[in-house]
Amino acid sequence: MNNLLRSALAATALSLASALPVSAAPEIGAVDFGSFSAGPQSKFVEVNVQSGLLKFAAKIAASQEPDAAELLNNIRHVRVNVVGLDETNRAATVARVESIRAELEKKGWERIVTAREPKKGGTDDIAIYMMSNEETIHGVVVTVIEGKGEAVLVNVVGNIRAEQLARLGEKLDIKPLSKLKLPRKDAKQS
Amino acid sequence: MSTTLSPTAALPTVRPRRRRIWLWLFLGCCVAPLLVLTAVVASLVTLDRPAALLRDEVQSSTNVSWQTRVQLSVGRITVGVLRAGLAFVPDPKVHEARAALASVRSASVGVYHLACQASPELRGDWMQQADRRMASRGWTRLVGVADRGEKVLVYTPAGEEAGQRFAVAVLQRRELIVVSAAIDAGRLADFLAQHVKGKLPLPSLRDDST
Repeated sequence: MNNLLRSALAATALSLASALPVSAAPEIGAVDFGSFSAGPQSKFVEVNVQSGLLKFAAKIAASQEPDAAELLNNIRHVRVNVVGLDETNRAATVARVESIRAELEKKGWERIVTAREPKKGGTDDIAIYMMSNEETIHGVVVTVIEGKGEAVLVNVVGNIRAEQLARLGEKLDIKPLSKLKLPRKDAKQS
Repeated sequence: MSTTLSPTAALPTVRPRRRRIWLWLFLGCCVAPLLVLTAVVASLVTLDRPAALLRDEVQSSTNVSWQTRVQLSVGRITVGVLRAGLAFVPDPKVHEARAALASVRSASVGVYHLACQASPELRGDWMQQADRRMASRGWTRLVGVADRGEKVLVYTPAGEEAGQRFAVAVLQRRELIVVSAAIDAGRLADFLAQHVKGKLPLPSLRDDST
């Protein structure tokens, strides 16, 4: 009787445990930028596209651009934040971007681009990070603090080949990424 | 003492049961179509649940009252009738319109105008409040844009229906447009593949390198 009771309790505990929400391990290549607040009159854009819609976009592209469709099929998540900077939020937003950059470097992300581009109205501060293994890029983060008054953060998560990065920038209209050229990592290196 | 009825006294008439049933059936046949028609008209001129929720949240985030200009919902039957009707229109571009309609299962549109002259001011956390309200119904935000006088919110259900239903709110100066639609993703993808270059509608990072 005691054994039966113990078994019943164990079964109940197991079923309850399986029903409880388990905090999922963070997805490789995904970065949580947190939430941003824009000034009352400044620009704010937030885009958060998951794999379902990306596969939908891949299906649209498949008939005309098969390589773009393959790329989109390999992407799991795209997040874009564009925050207009004004006196009310400039300092806090720039500090947040800097802390995101520091956090990425602390977590082992590779900084593949550091650039300061003088433009009309100010200097653009660009940093691009990558999380990859030998053959595949699992995540890309683009951070831009534009001199003319915008902060831009982009996170792309998926299984991307190095030579696809520029194409990815082209398809997602991310200029700093579309200009990027990484050497292809071949299996056999001379 | 017993009571005897006079043979000349009138007997109370009792309507047969069968005639009562027929009377009720007749009344039901007259009233039921009116009720159905009322329900159909009501469903045509009201928004579906997600669109109504989004409209209510955006309007409550402003400090002004809104006037309804257009409010319309169409379901599968109406969309099917429209599509069938287009088959009789002698225009070569109708074929595209029919193909586009084939990818729409249902749609709901509302257009609202500000009652006053001033542009609406939104609460500081209006986007987050809308997110919370829609999340309570299982919807997640895909896109949020606030750029000077224009605000755009796009939601889709989280889970299996993601990408098959959308709710969009566009607030532009003194006008609010709310649209909700359920689509056939496969047919829409085929239609767009023929008419749209494969480019995601994401905001571009402006590169003023001139």
